[in-house]
Amino acid sequence: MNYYTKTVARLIDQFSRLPGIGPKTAQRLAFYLLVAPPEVAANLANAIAEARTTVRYCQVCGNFTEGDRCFICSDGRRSTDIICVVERPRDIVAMEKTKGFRGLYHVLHGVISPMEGVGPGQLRIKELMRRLEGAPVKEIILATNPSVEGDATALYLAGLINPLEIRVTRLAHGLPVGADLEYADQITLSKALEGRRVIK
Amino acid sequence: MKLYQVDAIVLRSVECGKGDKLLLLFSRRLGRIKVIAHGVSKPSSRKRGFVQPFTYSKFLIRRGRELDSVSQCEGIAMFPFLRQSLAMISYASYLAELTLALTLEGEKNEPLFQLILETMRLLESGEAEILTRSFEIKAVSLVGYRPVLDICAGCGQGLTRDLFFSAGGGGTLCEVCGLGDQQAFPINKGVVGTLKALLNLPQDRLHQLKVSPAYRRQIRTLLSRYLKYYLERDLKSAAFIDQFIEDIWSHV
Ligand SMILES: [Zn+2]
Ligand SMILES: [Zn+2]
Repeated sequence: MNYYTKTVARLIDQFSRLPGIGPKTAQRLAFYLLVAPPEVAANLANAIAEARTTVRYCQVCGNFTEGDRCFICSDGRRSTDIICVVERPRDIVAMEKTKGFRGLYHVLHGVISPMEGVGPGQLRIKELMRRLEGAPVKEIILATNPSVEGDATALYLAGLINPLEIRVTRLAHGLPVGADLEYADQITLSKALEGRRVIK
Repeated sequence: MKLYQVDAIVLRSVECGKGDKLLLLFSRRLGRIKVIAHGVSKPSSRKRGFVQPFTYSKFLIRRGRELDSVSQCEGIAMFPFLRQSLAMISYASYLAELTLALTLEGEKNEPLFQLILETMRLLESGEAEILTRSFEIKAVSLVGYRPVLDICAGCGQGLTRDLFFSAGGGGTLCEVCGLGDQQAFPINKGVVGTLKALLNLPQDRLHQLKVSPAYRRQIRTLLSRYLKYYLERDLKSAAFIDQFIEDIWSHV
């Protein structure tokens, strides 16, 4: 099975360990880098190494950042009394693209999963509770995914935060844009009904 | 035709990139099967709602070279209440995890299918803890490890006044056998009677059963040891329930 020299095989192997990259894509990427101008490979290697060594978690919200605080937490124009709780840093990107939210975030870095044995202690929940002690927060938006694990996490957090007399909301989940009512399942439809709004 | 149809409960769904999910299904007709559902993490997917864990759906499945894939599906019962509290999610997860642990791929077991379906359905109104205990003892019996509860599992004699229970011994033991089995622990006749009721009463009649908190604790420990003996491991959702849920239930 040795079709490649050792170094090429190693490169292909490294690529194929990345999520979403199968052996064929790994091979294509490796061969591309071997024939492209040398700086292409050097730039990629540098970018990876630099990102990996300089990027860490924001001390406040858990987002990726190069300094102690991410660009959102250090932006003085954002409302500090509303925090949107998400599963992963990439959910912040999705939320930011809507341009509809001007508060702060909190990244849990995971979700509660009874079946995977992931409990609240393995998420950044203590950090969230500490944040709530220090600042006058009026609302927490739970923006975990509408999956079983996302629901479990939201339910757990709601139970924890509701006694603090902070408004706890969950992102409405209902019909996706462009969906056909006829094909909607019971749960989606009943959530959409619960989250209905007055139209003017 | 390369298509086949099954009614199945989604026991588990695992993200596998590109919006696809690997589903572990427990079907009435074929037992446990593994299929891939393409694109179901995307909001635009029509199948998305029906492939969520703990839903009971009708699947049209396409045979594949490596993995079969979901061609169409339609919900039969979605059990929305199973996702309305952390306790419900945890119990449903446990039923699913235990079913996965007790079965092998492609092994048909229609009574077990019927049992999990009915237990999930009854969780809406029934008592989760009792339903779960009954599920445990019935499920383990349905896969061939029914505990002996009428006689001594060691010597086959009738039970003595002082009796014992041993997972490795296969159930209740008489005084003599019990004292000779290092894993055996003493239990009383009332607990044995409750175990028999949990095993023999249909799920929809369990609400008639009154079990004291002390018996509940003993039965929970006893059944978890019994299951562990056969499964040779702990179940993650059982530990989760112990840590985060049972507290809640003891106040209800
Ligand atoms: Zn931050
Ligand atoms: Zn005996």
